[in-house]
Amino acid sequence: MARRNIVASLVIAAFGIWYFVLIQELPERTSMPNTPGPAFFPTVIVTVLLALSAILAASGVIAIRNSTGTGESWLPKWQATIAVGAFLAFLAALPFAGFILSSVVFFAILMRLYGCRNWVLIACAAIAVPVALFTLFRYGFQIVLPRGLVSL
Amino acid sequence: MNTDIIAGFLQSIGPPNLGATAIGAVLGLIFGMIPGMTISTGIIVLLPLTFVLDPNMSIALLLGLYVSGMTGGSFSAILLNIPGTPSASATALDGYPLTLKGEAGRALGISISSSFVGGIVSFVCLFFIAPLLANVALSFRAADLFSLVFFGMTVICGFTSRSMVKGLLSACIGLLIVTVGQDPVMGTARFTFGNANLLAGIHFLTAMIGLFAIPQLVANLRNETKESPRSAYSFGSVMPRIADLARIRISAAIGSLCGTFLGILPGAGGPIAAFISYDYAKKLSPSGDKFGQGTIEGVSAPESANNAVAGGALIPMMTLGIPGDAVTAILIGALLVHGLAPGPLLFLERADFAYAVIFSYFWANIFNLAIALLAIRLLVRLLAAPKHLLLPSIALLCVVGSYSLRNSFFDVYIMFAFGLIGLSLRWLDMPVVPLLLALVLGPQLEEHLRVALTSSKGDVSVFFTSTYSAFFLAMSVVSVGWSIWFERYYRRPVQMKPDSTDPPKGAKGG
Repeated sequence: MARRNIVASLVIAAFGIWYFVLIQELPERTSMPNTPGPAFFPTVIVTVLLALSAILAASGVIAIRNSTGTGESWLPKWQATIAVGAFLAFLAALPFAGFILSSVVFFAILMRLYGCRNWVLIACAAIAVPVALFTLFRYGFQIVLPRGLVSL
Repeated sequence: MNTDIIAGFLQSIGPPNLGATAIGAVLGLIFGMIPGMTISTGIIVLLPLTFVLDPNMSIALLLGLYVSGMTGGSFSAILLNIPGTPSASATALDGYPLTLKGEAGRALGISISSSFVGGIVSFVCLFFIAPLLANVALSFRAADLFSLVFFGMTVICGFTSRSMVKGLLSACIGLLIVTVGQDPVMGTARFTFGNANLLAGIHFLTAMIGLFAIPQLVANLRNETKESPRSAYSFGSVMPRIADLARIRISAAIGSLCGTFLGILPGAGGPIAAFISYDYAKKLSPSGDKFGQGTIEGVSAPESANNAVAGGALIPMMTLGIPGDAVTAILIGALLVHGLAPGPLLFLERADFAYAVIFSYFWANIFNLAIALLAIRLLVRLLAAPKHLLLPSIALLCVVGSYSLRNSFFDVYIMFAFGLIGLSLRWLDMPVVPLLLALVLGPQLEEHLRVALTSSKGDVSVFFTSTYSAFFLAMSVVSVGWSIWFERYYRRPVQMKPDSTDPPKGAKGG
């Protein structure tokens, strides 16, 4: 965890510095002298953020010196990578393929990742659930989900 | 009697409202009960509905889910020793030993009736305190409001993480994210990179879906679907006996009062209230030495506390616009979508609606009691619900929920981006709740700060000369100091999971 704290502090500090650069590009608009403009609040927060990330880094360095091991990883790595990748592909396909088509594939992949080994069930559920959701939102709530290639 | 109270009551008893509350209660019991699901996940599933329903029904639905989710969590804690929600962790300490003794039905009955007592006590507090507090809050000026919001955020950061620094960092990231879009005072476009979609800023409901749902979906990938033992579905009568109800009166009272008080404090949440009440009940009970071995007082105290938290959390939400946890943050979002801003003005301008919300909370507790007692045998069978159907459906609902907010793919991508942020925060053991609440409170914080400084011509002493403001700032210092001191000298008895709505999962027994 101590190493992660250092990584976190570095990433957050880099984010803060990037934000600080962006703040410099904001226009100085104030209605009265000595009153805060649009850059005021982000500047205060970035300053606090950088100070806190420095504290986190320092605590991480101290902890590493006294460290006896690393924290447990909660992330199931390969399944997580596939799931996140599938989600990304699903979102990319959504505007073109529409909700139903893209959801069928995505749903099937997720069912498999969550441990379902019955391919018939996967096929049935992967078609039934997206169609049911689309119909419910289209005709029940009057919300038209992306149609893409399928016009309903 | 005040006409607004009568109008609110009549609104709350309309058949659509009562129907929405009942549906919310059923869904809450289901989502609360299934380990791996949380009340937040249930809310995410219902979120698209709130966009199309009228405000009263939306809130009734969400309140039904909120209240029953707290109770549902205890079912799996008692039957399987796996708390369905973090708030039910303390319930497992005595609930599961009662199941091992063959008294699961008795434990479930006590859990349901104690939840009802906690809910009703907090309803009474909500009914009487909320209008008074709103009246006081009407006299707050910009400096007071800034300090109040600031105090709320420091409490949330302290309560919701094991490290104050990480809590504050999470909140700061959230506060920076809310600066995207038009600034709240002058309307200057900030950090939009020329993208018109960013002009309106990032909608926190979209962010919330990503922050909570995606990490939970990923975390569930490693949980193998296990069949619940058949013994989990067979238990005796759940109707509580008079003698048992008399025996739990002290522990239920402790839990109800502790829960209501801690619910009012932003960020404290159900788990902390449950463990503190359990501890007090143990110390004050003549049979305190039997706690942990299966005593009904040990079930009653935490269960009344975690349900009382819900009513307590509604008090600052409705009167000050400050959410106590992620669920009340979502309630604020649901109200904002309908153009209703929670805060003191709600009681001035739409008092009938404010009272309708309060009465809907009452009905939510009634439905929770009735449905839980009557349908528990049916509901517990859902403990064996296949996750490989449930979780992919939730993934699709995340996409649908974020898309239907503004019919925009942009919101879906933002949701996914926040999902990745949520995963990163979880990997770094940083709490998500301060970030989420910063997204809700950030615009108010900036607006009040800048208005206060503008009206005082840049003089910061305005924050210390006002009595209210000085009090809230002093409380903020106490809050931060206490959190740092506590972190340094004690290990937290209850620790918050970084992804959790309402802190820990299985501080014990999970």
